[in-house]
Amino acid sequence: MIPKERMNCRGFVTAAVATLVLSHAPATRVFASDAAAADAAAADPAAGDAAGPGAAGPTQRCGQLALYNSRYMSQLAGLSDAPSTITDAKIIPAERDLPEVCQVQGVVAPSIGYVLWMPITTWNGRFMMQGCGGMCGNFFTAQAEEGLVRHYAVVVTDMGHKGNGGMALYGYENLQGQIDFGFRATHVVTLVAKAVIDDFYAKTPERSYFVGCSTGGRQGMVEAERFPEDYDGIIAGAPPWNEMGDLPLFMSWSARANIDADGKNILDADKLPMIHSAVLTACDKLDGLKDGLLQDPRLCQWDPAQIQCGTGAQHDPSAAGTCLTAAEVGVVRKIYSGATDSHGKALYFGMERGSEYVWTPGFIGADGAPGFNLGGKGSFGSQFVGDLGFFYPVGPTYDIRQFDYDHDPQRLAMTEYIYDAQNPDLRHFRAAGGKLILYHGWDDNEIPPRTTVDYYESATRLLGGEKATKAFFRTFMIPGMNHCRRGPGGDGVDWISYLERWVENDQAPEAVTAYHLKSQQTYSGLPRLRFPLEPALYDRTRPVYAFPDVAKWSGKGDPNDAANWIKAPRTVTPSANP
Amino acid sequence: MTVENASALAAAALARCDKRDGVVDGVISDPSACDFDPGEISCARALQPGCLNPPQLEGVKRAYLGLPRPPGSAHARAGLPVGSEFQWLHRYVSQDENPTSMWDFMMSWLRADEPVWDELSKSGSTISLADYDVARFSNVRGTYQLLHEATNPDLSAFAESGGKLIMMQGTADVIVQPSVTTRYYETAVRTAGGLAPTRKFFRYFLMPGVGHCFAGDNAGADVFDSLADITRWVEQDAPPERIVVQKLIKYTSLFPDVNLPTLPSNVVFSRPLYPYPDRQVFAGAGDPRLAESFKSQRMIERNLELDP
Repeated sequence: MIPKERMNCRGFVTAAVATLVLSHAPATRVFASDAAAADAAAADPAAGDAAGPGAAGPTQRCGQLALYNSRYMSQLAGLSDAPSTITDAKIIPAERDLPEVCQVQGVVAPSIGYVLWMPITTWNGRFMMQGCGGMCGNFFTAQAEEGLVRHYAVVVTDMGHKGNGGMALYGYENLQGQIDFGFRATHVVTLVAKAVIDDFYAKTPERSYFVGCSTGGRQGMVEAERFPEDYDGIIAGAPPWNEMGDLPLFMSWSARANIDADGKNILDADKLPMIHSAVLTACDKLDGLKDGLLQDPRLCQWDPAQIQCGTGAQHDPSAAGTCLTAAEVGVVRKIYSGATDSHGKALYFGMERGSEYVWTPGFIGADGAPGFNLGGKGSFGSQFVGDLGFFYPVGPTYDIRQFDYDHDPQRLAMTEYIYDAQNPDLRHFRAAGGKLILYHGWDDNEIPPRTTVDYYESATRLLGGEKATKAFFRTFMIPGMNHCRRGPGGDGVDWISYLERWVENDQAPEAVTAYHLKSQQTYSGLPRLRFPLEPALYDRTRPVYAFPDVAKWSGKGDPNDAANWIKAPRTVTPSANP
Repeated sequence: MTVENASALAAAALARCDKRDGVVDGVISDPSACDFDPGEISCARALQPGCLNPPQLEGVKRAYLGLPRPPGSAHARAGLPVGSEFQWLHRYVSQDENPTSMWDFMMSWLRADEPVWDELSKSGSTISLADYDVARFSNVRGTYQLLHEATNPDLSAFAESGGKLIMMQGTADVIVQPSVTTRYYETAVRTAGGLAPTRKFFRYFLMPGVGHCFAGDNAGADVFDSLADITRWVEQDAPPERIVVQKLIKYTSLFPDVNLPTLPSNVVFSRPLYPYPDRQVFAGAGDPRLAESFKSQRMIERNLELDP
């Protein structure tokens, strides 16, 4: 039985359907089962005229969106494969530097949440999805400001489940949830957002952009690889290319490397500054400027044995703080090399030289505690592998210390292919006219930066070489930057403007300017930066050239001013490893 | 289209392209290079048995061409191969009032795959293949196909783990288009950094005149000991430089390997296959029924939509 108020609502919506079909002349087919409703409404011209686009003000039209049910939504253009509904729509007044918007909240079946903000009078004609982070499960509302402040219509999604960004429990015994987080949510929410924008403004977005880092970066790559028609331009930062592999084979591996047979720390976090300092002594000058940053860490071959204690000094307590034991050397090597099996065969990539300052507390806990990434039951690593890494999940009782590097990596593959973003074939995206900016910090301690180098080099081979690739796809490796941002390098980059200029004016970014902020953003990238940046907010600018090129100080002028930097001659040849 | 049409079409195609490999044996070795125009047997040109009237000619042209590509699309255009015409009957061209077998097959796929999230199907309405539109299919490819797909050309992990891969494809396959398989191989070659590094672990053999996985009614030779070839490569590091396939008089099974061993008197002819992009051509002398009378030749390397 249908409640009375629902019937009333339906009556309204039926009229609105006819309005859409008659007034917008959308590409949507009118299915046979709907023809009767359309005919009935068409017989009542008043219904068609009353709510036509332009007839109602934006405030009224925003309110009307709240009445759209799934049946109505299914008839918006492009939504036949994205069953969805709107649960709430209301005006949010302008505040701070943000415009007045119509805020739409809704669901795509079965449980993908989304929030869409549409500037009422100041829309710039473009659409943007702001990617989420970690395991998502929440809305990146504050992060969406970077699009809203530019007057984009911006959408965010929780990717199909509830959580706080760090919870993998959604995946436990929930294949649909994994499919949605893996690839489907980003796509179907894109379809829904475009359709609602088209309906609200009676105008299709002129351009569609995707912006995201970490999981957001993976969302961007999944879109480019699997749904190449969705976006004109994509910014993908530090994507977990191999979502399943990344935690056990990188984060947890790096923490486990420091645990001895008794479960105690081998290397103390107090020694990290000394190791970092030794790396800089050996390698900082390789890029022509001693500034604490390695422009290309691949040039640095420093081995921790160079500061290993001599046989005598090893037992000398006074020397212990200035050199490494053999066991400590082993830990450092393992963190650089990345995961191997028991025969020493490489399974993944590791950390770069120069990143040692960021090994604590994730790899090496403070106060003698194990690295956070090995935090036992309930740690992110345990959750991730236990709840969703294995196709037949162990569940919340799993402890990442059980991970078997000889047998378990292969077991992750079945789930990985739901999430995978490693397909280097971007020809469809290229043919659709898309532009892609990929970036990664060289000092990332959550996703190994060489996974991005590896992907870019594979894609370059497939796409016909560097020139053909850079025509639509460029990668920027940021010196001294951690995961998505932060770190001693410059992490403030106006990615959106570079992408807009590339997509809309065909100006490809040869180099981007990276600003070093006086006060770093939070881990989640808040508050979102407003470009152009106030000069008071930063103390250094540097260019970052499209990979594989790197920047070099010209030798004249202030090295903290990007204007005094040039493109360095190439020294590193692409990896020979196919 | 009738049996007579298929017969006339196949004969005309053979007349044009059979001899290109040096022997007239009923097999078009490289259909993708065959520039056969079905207009040659249009009734307008000559009123003869099996000739094609205008709508038939249009349909045949569309079948060879495949799905039109949207402007700018990077999809390989994949039509039915020249030389496969007899296989169209019943599969794609009904010979009675019943739907064709491929129609039934595709409808079962659509019913099984698509309606998972489709409210229309939940509401009881059905989809017919006829109103299936290409734009929508592109979308379905994304949401459903990705659970099934095998298109990632990056085989580096397999190569590094020591794996060996032999990929076979019949040139007269009407179920999986040969051009799609060839395109995958060419993409994998690029990704692996060229033909030489690829051939160290991955070789691709086109089987002239063979249909989907086996020859069936087709004229091509399909019988060889595939297990022996892959075992030699894996266990003795002897990659397949040449695979000899046999066409039999009498088959005990559609599945080629099952016919082995077979008596020499049961062999119609044997042919060598060479790893793509090499192919076999008649050496110019000797018995064309023997593999020894053929040599390897590098095909003109066609770039199958690699750079749209």
